[in-house]
Amino acid sequence: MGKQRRSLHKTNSSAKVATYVILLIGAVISLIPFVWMISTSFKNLGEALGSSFFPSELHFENYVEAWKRARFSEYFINSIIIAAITLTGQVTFSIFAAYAFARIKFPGRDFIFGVLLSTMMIPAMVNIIPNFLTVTWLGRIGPLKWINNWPALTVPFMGSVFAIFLLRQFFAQIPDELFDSAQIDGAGHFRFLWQIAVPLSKASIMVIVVLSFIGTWNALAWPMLVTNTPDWRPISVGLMNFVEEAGQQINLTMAGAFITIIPIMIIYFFTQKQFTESIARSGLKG
Amino acid sequence: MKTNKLAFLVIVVVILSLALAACKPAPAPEPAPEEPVAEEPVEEPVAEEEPVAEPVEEVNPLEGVTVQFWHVYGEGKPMEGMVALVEEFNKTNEYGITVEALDQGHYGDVEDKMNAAILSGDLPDIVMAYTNALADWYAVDAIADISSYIEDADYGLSTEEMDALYDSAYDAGLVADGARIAYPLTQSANVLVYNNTWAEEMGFAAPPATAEEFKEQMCAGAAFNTERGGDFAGTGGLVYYPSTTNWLNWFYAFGGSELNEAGDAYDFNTPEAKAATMFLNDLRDSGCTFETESYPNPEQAQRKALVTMSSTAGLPYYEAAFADEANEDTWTFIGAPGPDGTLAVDAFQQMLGVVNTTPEKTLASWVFIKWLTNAENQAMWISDYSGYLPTQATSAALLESYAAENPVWATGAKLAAIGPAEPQTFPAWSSVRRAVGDAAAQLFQAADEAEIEAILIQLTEDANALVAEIQ
Repeated sequence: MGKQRRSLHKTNSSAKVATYVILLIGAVISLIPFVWMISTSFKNLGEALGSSFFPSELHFENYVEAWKRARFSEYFINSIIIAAITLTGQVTFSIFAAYAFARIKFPGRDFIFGVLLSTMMIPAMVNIIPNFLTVTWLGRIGPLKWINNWPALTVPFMGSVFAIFLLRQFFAQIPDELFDSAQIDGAGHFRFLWQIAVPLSKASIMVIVVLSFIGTWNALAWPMLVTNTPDWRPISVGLMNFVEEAGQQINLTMAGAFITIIPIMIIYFFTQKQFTESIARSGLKG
Repeated sequence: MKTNKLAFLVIVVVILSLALAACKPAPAPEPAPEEPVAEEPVEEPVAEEEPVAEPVEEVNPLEGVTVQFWHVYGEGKPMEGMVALVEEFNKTNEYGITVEALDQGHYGDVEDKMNAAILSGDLPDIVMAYTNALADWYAVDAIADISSYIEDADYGLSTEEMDALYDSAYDAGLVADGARIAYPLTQSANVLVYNNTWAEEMGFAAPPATAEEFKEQMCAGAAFNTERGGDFAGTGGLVYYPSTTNWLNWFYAFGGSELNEAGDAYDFNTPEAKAATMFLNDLRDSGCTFETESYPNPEQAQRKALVTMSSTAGLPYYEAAFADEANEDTWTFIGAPGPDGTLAVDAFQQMLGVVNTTPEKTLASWVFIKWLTNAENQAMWISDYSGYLPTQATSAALLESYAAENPVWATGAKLAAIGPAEPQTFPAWSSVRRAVGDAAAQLFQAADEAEIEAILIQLTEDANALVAEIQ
């Protein structure tokens, strides 16, 4: 009996060790590009073009040069404003839409939701020209200027089917009894949404916040299309400046890339707990 | 209580974000799309109301005209140079034209933006692009024919200015119907980068003059490095990546042309195309070529490659790579040598096109282009800011001291002048160019002449089908 337990304990330990080894290998593989980025950001151009992994000398000035040459001081502020507006709009509209699809019965609800879901199959690039024509047209017919302004940079991304889908799943899981109790206490849909449904879905809202922030922060093709002057462009455009006709200033690109991902890391740091929790609960994979 | 506060906070944030999204910040001198409409009528009513009294000579049709110029220089010295030149023009031009120069990213971004702008109608007045893109836009009437402006007695080029232009660069802007849709700002070329010092050490006193000599030198380099072993094994000769540009470079050296004899259709199934491909595949089979994962500058600086292929604009990257390796070898640009000693490069022009807008704006756009590309400005743009290559003899003359200080650049300038250039204004070249790239990769894998011929036949069929699609 004791022998059997010991052998079972041994097998468990070996499995644990193997799991950790595999996870460790995975972690190292994931970290290598990140380490390479940081290492290259400290090299001079010649070294960056070469094959050595680490710099022979640390060129901290690359960060200053990248900041200046990529106009990061202008683009950073633009990116923060674009991300803030998009994020607020996307989270708000997704919450309302998801709640409606999850808890309000109206004619054609499931059909409309199905149509909405089917739009996820359309690659984002396909929407670029129709979206561009729409925002140009809106700028022409209304009092609001859209091109070279915040609306064109943010409004098209305020409606996210993925976010609506994710939240709908969470809202649909809330027991009906909770809604009935709230109703008895005199709460309508709006109060139930803000006082019960949203607090319960904090983890999935955080997932939307993080994913939406990353998407907006990294956007390049759309901002290039709807802006004609640097005054409105985001940080991703700055990174592109280091790619030239016959080569890339890889050391400055990496310094710029590291600067660019700092806000994403900060956001992730503060939302990590909810993010992981939500992924674990929903079974989503990145 | 807590959730009430949360709901209140969310409502406030939404209202604020929508208000912020709606507000129009003050800066950003954005040219409104309505601008042409607003500016146009200024002179017309004057002409209609006072048809007799006003002497025509006193009217300056360009006074107060603003033109928007989309270019690709968004960083570093080229950006500084373009800003300085445009400011200078705005201050000094006698017509009162204002140019608003706006960087729009890379050539691909400009193409995307221009394609979208054609659909939306919010077009610039001058656009910088490769000629094939300008030809595509000309086909949909978005680009103007500037021939009449170039020949205009008041605003055009003088005979001396015309004579100074390099034919290869100037004629690259000509389309089949005789319209001139592009004017060269500068040019660059795909060339071979050759390590003179290493070649001399291996007993080659001069760069290869023929394809045969080329093979001999590449194979000598490969043999040398095989003997060195280690990291050097399998390197030493030519770094060849089968891209459109690289394959065309050799195709031209073997006397090839993308069009048939009549010049009215694509024809790649020619003896020249076969010979060029078989030459490259022979180098491959002999172990005298290899590929790198990225730009081959480090390999060349480490003496892993005797020859690499690059744009002349890659010069600073080669200098950096050689400096990093502390390699003091002398290196230079050479043309791809054909079997009969013909040297060829694949020359590209950085072209300017005038967008079809109003007569005043197109004329003002041409006036700016003429000023921007005059000999003095082109020479300054090259020597002080961009390092590109001139498109006229008068600029080249002004760049003599720069050439003396930068001998590799000078070699590139001479090579670009021999060209040839791709048939960028021939219908569907943008699409055909991509098909050539795919074919180049297949050709480099081909086992024998029959397979090469089959690929070239297919390429010719595909290319002409692409033309038929748009006609």
